[in-house]
Amino acid sequence: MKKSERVLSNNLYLLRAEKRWTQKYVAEQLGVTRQTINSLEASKYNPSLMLAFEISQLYRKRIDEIFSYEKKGECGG
Amino acid sequence: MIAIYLISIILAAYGIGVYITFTSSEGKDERGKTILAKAAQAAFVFIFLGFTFHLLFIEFFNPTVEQVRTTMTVWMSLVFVSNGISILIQRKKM
Repeated sequence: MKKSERVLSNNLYLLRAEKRWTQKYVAEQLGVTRQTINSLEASKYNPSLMLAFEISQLYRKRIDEIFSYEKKGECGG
Repeated sequence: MIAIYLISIILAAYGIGVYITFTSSEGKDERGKTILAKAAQAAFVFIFLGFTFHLLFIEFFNPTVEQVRTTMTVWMSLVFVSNGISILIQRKKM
C-alpha cells in the first residue's frame, strides 16, 4: 500500500511578521543562523524536535499551531 | 604532470575554502551540521572509490612511485572538491 506524500508546513513567517521581528532577531533568540530561519520559513528545512519546542516557546504558541503535517496540496495555516 | 598537480591543488584549495567558509559562518547550528554531514557522505564515496582504485591499480598495473603520487593527488583533490561542491548544493536545497 502506497503511503500518501505528506509535507511539514508552517506559519513562521506570519508569526514573525505579526510580532514585527527580524529574521536576525529570531535567529539570535533561538541560537541559530539567519539562513536557518530563512530556510525554516520557506519550508526548505524541517527543524529538530528541540528547535521546534524552542520556536513554540519563543512565539508562545503550541507546536501544532505553528507546524502542520499534511498531504501535499492541502492548504496549511 | 605539473599541470595535473596544479589543477589538483587549485581544486583541493577551492573545496577546503568552501568547507572552512561554511563551517565558520553557517556550520554551527543544526541545519549547518546537517549540510556538513550530507557533504561528508558525498566525499566518503570518493574516498571509497579512490581506495578501491588504488588497491587494483597497484595490484594489477605495477605503477611507478610517480604514477601513484599523481593518482593520489588527483584522488585527494576529488575528495575535497566533492565535499565543497556538495556543501554548495545542499545549501541551495536546504
